[in-house]
Amino acid sequence: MRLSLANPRRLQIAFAVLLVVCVAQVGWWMIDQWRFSAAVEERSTGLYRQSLAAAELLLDRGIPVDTVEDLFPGIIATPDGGGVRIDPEVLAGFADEHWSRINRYAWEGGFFLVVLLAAIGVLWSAVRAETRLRRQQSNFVTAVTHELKSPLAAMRLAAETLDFREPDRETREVLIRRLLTSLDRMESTVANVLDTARIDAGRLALAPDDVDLADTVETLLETLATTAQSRGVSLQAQIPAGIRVRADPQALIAVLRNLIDNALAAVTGAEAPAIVISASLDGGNALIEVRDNGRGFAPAMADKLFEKFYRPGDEMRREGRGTGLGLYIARYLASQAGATLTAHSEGPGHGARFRARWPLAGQPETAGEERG
Amino acid sequence: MSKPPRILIVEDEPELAAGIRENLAAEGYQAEVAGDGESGLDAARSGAFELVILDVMLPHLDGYSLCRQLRQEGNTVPVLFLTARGEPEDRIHGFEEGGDDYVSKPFHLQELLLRVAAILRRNRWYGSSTLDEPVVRFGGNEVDFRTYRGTSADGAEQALTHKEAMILRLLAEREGEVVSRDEILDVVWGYDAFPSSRTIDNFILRLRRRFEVDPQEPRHFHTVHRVGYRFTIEPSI
Repeated sequence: MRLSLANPRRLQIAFAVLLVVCVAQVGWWMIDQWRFSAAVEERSTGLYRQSLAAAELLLDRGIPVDTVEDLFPGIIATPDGGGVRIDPEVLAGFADEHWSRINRYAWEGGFFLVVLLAAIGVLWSAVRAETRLRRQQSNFVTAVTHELKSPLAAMRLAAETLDFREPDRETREVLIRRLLTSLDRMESTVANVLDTARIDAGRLALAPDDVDLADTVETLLETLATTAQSRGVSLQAQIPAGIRVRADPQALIAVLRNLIDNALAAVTGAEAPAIVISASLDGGNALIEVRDNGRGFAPAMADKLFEKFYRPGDEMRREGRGTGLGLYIARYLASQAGATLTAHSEGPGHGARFRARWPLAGQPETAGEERG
Repeated sequence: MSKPPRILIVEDEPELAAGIRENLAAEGYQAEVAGDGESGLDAARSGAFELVILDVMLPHLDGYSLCRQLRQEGNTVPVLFLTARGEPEDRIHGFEEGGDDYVSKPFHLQELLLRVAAILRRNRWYGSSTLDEPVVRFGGNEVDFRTYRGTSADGAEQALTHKEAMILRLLAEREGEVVSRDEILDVVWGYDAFPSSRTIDNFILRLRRRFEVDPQEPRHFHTVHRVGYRFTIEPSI
């Protein structure tokens, strides 16, 4: 049987066997020590009994009591034919020694088992964490492969169709739109992978500025219009004019873009797919919301969605596009600007709302981090 | 004029699905798209299609499971896997689940069209050949090429795979003649000889295990050393 992190069940069995063997070993060791200690006590008492016989003989021969007691320490002789006996203190000493040994072995054995259990517990939790990470990374590789190869295949197909079929103007426009949509998707995937690498290496440079939210969203929607249109998704913005937030402009675009990409993936296959980006003022913050009528998620998953590499379900039955990086990056970038990003859904099939509470421009810095 | 072959595309990438559908239509095929595994399975079950172009990673039901389900139900429609998963083990998995061909993304348009044409041609050969002589009987065995089912001499029910039935069809059609491994590859697998000749040997072994009384001493499926195989209706050594 080969043990590896890829097979945690086997490791679990191996740990359980190890534990049982160690418990049995400690148990056997304690019993053995108890027997040994009892045997030592028995042998010592036996030696004293032999001495008793010799002391009694000497007393019979008229040797004085004091001399006999000097010759046989631990033996008490009674004058005038009172006989000899082992000093009760000596016997009590044997019993004390016996029980103190048993006591010590019990504590040592118990301590050994506790340490062993703790070590196995730590090891097991590390194995579980490693297994989870491996699974997520393997899913991530599969997802990235899919996210790069699928638009690449669509681009090649569109380009070869242009070359091979000599299509009319209208078809040509459709094919070029598909090319651009796929190109956008590839760009987005590559940007997310690179951003994640920069975040991991602590090399993401942010330069906060005062940014007009309506302008930013409008520019972003222009770049996403082709994709939304080719997929039949209604993409609308409801941003009141004049809201200015404190953000690195590129980071804000990356956050919004990832939220919209996520919504675009979620509405695939929905009836009358629609995404609305809205904003309102809430104290010193702008409340930015990206709402979709897509597949939604179980409310309990709301926080998990932002974990790195997290993608719901099995990659073989992928329910939507993505690499499991977009929302992770969005939350990270939001947190760097002192903003909070949360996800809400009534449950699968009920759409979703992603809400960013973003500090307005001119507000005191909260958790912003300026680097580079 | 005969009806154009109907092809089902099970693909969740809308841009890709639309591109394939349009190109197949331009080649004279009638192509339809299913956007997830479950609707793909329902459509494939209808029996209206001569070929299914099947993505592997699909919402609700993955392509391998879909193909397996079809084969378990006795549906023999040819399946061409089209997927981003291009590792050899993925390809082997695809063939094991009953796929007929495998194309990795990104692919060349002309290659896809050639493969589609080749599968349809092979299938039509099988269909027309079966129409002439739907059942073969040899040494107490019987195989119906229309249902891929038969009984062996010991009375056991035998459910053949698509490839097993095609090989037997080819050998039975050329009864008594030596059919080379290259010819089997060409007719059964098409121009793209992905499987090695060792694969054919394995298929012949499977046929022997099904229909020979003693597979070690075959009486019907004979090996012609370094050339190929000869099939005889009458038992011979």
